[in-house]
Amino acid sequence: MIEFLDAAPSAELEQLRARLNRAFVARYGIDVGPDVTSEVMTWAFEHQAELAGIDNVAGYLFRVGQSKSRRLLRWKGERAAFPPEPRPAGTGPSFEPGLPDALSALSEEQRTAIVLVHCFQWTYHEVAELLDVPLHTVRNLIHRGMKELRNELGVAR
Amino acid sequence: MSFTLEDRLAAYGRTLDAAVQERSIVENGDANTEVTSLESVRRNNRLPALAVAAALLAVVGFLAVRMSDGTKVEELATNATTTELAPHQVRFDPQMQQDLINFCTFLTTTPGEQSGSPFLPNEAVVQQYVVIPIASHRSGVLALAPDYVRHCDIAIAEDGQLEMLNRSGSVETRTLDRLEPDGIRVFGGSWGDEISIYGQFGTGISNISADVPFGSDTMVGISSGYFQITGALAGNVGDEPSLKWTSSDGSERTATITDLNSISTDTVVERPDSDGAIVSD
Repeated sequence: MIEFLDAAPSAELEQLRARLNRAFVARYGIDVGPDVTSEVMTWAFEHQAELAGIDNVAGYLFRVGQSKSRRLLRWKGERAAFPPEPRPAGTGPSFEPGLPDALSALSEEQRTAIVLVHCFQWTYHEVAELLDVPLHTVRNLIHRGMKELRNELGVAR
Repeated sequence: MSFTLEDRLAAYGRTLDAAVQERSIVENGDANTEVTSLESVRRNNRLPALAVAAALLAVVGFLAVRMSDGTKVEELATNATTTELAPHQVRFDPQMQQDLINFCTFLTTTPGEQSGSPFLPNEAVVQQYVVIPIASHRSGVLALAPDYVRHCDIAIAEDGQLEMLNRSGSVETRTLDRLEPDGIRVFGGSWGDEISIYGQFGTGISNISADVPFGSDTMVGISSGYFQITGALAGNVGDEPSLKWTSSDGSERTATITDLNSISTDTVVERPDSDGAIVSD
């Protein structure tokens, strides 16, 4: 169990915040995601007693964030915003200007799984634990999401 | 050399990380750097240290004792004829105002080396606090810095206990400046189960109220050219609230929060004079 009243933020707590932040950015985009992280960490501090008996703290807080996000989404817009990819010098073949919009168009679940696995190198197991779903569900989310991304971007592989 | 979609996503992960990093620039104290949101500050939360929590409990306990005689809050008669008087006008004594500011500060700043909660990189950058009394049981506090505003929505229980209902903030330029007489703008807020909207208005504006679909107990507090609207929402919350006010020429005006949010700040004309805020630190 993470101790929220440490004299200084523990490495474990900082790691939890960083992981949740990536998860919320994946789900809600760059505008709303960090705000949700902040709301959730504040909630965690205020409700640490409730967290005492919970094994999967990150998964629990992720669901808290889904609830917290509603208000922020009303305020900042429902569509997840992703930053444009900076055009590299010489515009190499990895440059894909349509990627941010294509990610925004995915379902929240698909986007969360794809961004965490392919952008942030999480394992399928870690995503399953965060989303509190079976492993095969994560595989399906990523398989279908990648198919949609390829269709949207017009790429074969 | 060809790149797969997986390669592109991996590269884009670095772009995402960099974008998140950029949003934390406010925490580094560069007031001249533009950022998209003050909420970026909150991303790098440092949860309150034990010392801060203990100090907070001490403040709350002190307030509980001090308020028990019931004499610290003075309710005034309703009068909506000037901009400084809200529909439910309340005035707190100076000590109460300071207590509200302290309560907001404890939960929104990082005092010195201690790890504090999110929202403000450092209390020292706050140039002005404005207490916005709404009712005997409700008050807002604005912490104004040159490039952002932080807001606390605080409930005051009968026994004097303070409870933070909502905290939010936004990057705004010239938050300490005054608007032109008929200028009005919203700094931020939200409407979920609770409504909390706060902003600034010019000296020519009066009778600020809110039209909140499915809202109840809507209240408006006004202080020193700043306002806060609170209330509760029941049932469907599909429509956003609208603000109503009277301009200097007597005309009734109305605008949605989104409309107000998009109003440019180029209506700002001057710095406030020394009586601008109730308490200045």
